[in-house]
Order: sequence, then structure tokens, then C-alpha cells
Amino acid sequence: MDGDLKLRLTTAQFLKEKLEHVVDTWKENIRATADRTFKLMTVDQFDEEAKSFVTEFVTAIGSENYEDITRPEYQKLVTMLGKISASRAEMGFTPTETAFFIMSFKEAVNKYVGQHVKEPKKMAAEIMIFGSLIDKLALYTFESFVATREKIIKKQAAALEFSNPMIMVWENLIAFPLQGILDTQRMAKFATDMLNAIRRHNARVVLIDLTAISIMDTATANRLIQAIEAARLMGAEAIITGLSPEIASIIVKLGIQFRARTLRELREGIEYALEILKLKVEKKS
Amino acid sequence: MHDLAAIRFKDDVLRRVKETKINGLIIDLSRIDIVDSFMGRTIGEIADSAVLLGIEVVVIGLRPEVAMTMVEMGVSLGQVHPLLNLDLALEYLRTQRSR
Repeated sequence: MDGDLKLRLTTAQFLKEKLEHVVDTWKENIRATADRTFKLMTVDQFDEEAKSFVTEFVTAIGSENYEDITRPEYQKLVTMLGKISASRAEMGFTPTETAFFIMSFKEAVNKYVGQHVKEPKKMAAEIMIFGSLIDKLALYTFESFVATREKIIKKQAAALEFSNPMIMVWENLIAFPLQGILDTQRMAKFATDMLNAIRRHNARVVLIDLTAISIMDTATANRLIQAIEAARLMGAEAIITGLSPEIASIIVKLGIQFRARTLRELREGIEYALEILKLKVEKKS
Repeated sequence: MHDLAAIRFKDDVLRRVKETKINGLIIDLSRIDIVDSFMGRTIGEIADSAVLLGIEVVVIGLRPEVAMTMVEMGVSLGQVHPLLNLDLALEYLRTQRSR
């Protein structure tokens, strides 16, 4: 056992001393495959990443822990892998390509082991231990990549949930088809968006379509009524369409004067709006 | 516009209304940052007095933030007819006159 430990320590030593050599071997391995690495990043960028990785790797294995990458001695290395995977994601690499980057480091290590360990059993054991460790690191890189991507997707979805797309139906006539779940926070944002849109587009009529809204609590309904009143103070008349029976009863229970015309469908809303604006839609003869 | 200025404004407006033979009054609030309940009531009083004299009163230029705050605080403008801008106000007053 002592001999094995000595061997592993010398592997770490070798990696530290022959850093450039190892990185070159690593680079060659990657170049040998039909992979996009050097199309998406420069050689300098690669060298820097590879060197930092090997340096941290050597430090981590200096702890003599070759198994558990969740232990504190691997903290710095694992953090670096997170950074690498994030930067590669930005460059356009796939999670597999990023994991492959780490896995191909195995070849560089194996090359050394092959050159300096003569006994077949020892060589096999050595290759297995390092191989298993590097595989774990590669898998971590893959997972980190995927987790980051999911975080970005969730953020984008959340941002979309908060957006209130507006349709410029006609001059002085704007429409907001609301979707999703409306809470007081979203309603507050909607009020701001709507009032700003009234000013920006000189809207005299605002169509608010609630067909896609199934639930609204009393506080939110109250805010909606306030937003409509604020719109009136800005000279815009609000028309509500697609109000569900549930939401209607909530508004009735609130007992507040609801100063907006309500109609069943968006189409009816548009018709009414055009009437207010003294416009007519005519078929061409 | 603070309270004293609001009162002076109301007196000014009503005096002018009496002196000249106007049919319509446009109050431009586009440079007002806050309309509190006192200001709101003052404008309402101007409107009520003017309406009694057969004058149409229009308020224009209320900013989104101001409008929202007014509604949240329950400030009402009384009988004024709110519109967005000067063009719409003039158009409105013209149509009211031809009635």
C-alpha cells in the first residue's frame, strides 16, 4: 500500500512539474477528436483553463482523497468546474462537450501512468483510481451546466410571466390580453404598464381581456378597479371582456363602483370601442 | 402646488371666469407631481362652480403615477371630464358647444 501511495504522490508531483507538458498532451487529445473546441475558443483560453484545472486538481489530490469530491479539499476545484461550465455555456458549448473536456484529461494522466508504471496490476489500479475520480469531476461539470441552464430558463419564464404584452388595435385604441395567474404584484405592474401605454399611444380606449384569467383574489380585483379608475383620470375609457362568473362575483362582493363597460367577448369589446371612437368597419364592395 | 397656492388658483380662475365670457375651462395638470385630497377638492370646487355657470371643465395631462396615487388615496376630481391632452380637450369642448 505504501508503494501505491508513493506512486500517487509522484503522479501528483509529475502533474505539477510537467504542467505544460500535460496540458499539451491534453490539447492534442482534444484536437485528435472531431470536436469544436478550437472553433469556439482560442488556444490561449484553453491553456489558461487547462492549467488552472490541473493546478487545482493537483492541490485537491494532495489531500490523498481520491474518492469523495464533496469533501472540502475538493471545494476549490469543484467551484472552478462550475465556472468553467458556465463560461463554456456562454461560448456555445454543449454540456456533453464540456464534460468531454474533463474526461479527456484522463488520457493525459494515463499517458504518464503508462510511461512510468511498469507493473500491469499497479498500472491498472492507478488508471482506475484516477479514471474514476476524473469521471466524477466530468459528471459534476455536466450537472452544473444543466443546472445553470435550468436556472436561466426559469428566470426567463418568470420574466415572461410578469410581462403584459399590449396590442395596438387602432389609433387611440390599445388592448391587453391578460394571461396566467394575476396576483397583486402582477396587477400593480399591469397598472403601471397600462397607464404608461395610455400616455405613450394617446389611447382613448383600453380593452382589457380577462378570458385567459381564471382566478383573481379580492385584493387583486380591487387593484384592477383602481387601475381602471386611474385610466379614466387620464382620459381613457376601459372596456373589460371575458370576465368569468367567479371573478364577477368577487367584484360584486367588493361592492365598489365598477366604472367600466363589461362585455362578453373581445370582439364585442372592439366593436364597442370603435363606436366610442366614431369609427366604422365596412366591407369593400 | 401647496394649499395656499391652490386656494389662490381657485380664486383666480373663478374671477377670470366671471370677467370673461368663456364656455370651456381646461386645467392642465401635466406639471403637477402630486394631487392630494385638498388639491383634488379645490379642483372639484372649481368644476362645480363653473358647471353652475354653464361652463364645461376639462382636466388634462394627469401623469400615470399621479393618477394611480389619487385613486389609491381616494382623491376625486368631482365633475371634471378628464382627457389626455390639449387636442382631445379642444375637440371635446367643440363638440360640447355644438350641442
